[in-house]
Amino acid sequence: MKPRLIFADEREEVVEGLQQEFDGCEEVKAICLPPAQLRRLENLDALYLSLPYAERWGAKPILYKAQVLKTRGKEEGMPPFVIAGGAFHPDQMRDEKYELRQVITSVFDAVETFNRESPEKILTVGFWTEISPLQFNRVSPKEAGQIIREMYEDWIQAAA
Amino acid sequence: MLNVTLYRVVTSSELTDIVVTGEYHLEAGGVEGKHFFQSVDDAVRFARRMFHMRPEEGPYTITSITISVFTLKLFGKLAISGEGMAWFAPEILLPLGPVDVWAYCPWERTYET
Repeated sequence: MKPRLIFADEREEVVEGLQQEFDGCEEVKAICLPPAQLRRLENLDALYLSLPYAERWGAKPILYKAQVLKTRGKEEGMPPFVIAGGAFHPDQMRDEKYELRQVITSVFDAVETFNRESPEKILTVGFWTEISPLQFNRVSPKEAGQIIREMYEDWIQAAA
Repeated sequence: MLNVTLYRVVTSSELTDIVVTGEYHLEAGGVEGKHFFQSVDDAVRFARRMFHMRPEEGPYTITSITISVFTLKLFGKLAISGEGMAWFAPEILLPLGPVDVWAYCPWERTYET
């Protein structure tokens, strides 16, 4: 079973831009929600965080990969897991689209490996757009939505 | 000797420890090391986002440390998507000090794109 992805932002225009591209794909959603509520969503199994945000759960400085780390769950107002990633070699030339693709791929890989090897499953992953490659400085919400949807559908097809 | 300054954003519990010891320590609980930012702007942005995500933890405090470039070579350097350049001090380098605690939070700089 492929996990559902939820992208949260507090700006309506950003959510609309993303959701336009996600329409018809039930497993990927954009919602208008502050991060303090996103992390407490019922049924959220994991939250994506870049490495410094996940330090308290033991995030290691691993480049180009995402790691699944266990939290104390509801006791600390978090989903059961965080997925920490987003680290690149400091000398590598990058752009926002490359980073978005790389981070999403690394999250898919980490979830797939975790679900294969663990009795617990990650079925819903949340992203707060401010802690992600989705900064919208140079990639519009629409472009980002297109990339995410394409990647998600490719991932589903590859697994079928 | 050449020195560099790195910036770290800390919670109130880590701040309490720093005020007592003057150093960055590894907290109990099995974390692997500590992240630092290369620029104060990146640290300020991180503090703002952390507070927005975890307001119940109270305000975050900017701290900094000045170390020699020789010590810096023992850190891991990372480019973090959406966050800027970060340095990771593994457990073996801790404790680290002396730490400067900033009594204020600089305004986040914004750039025209």
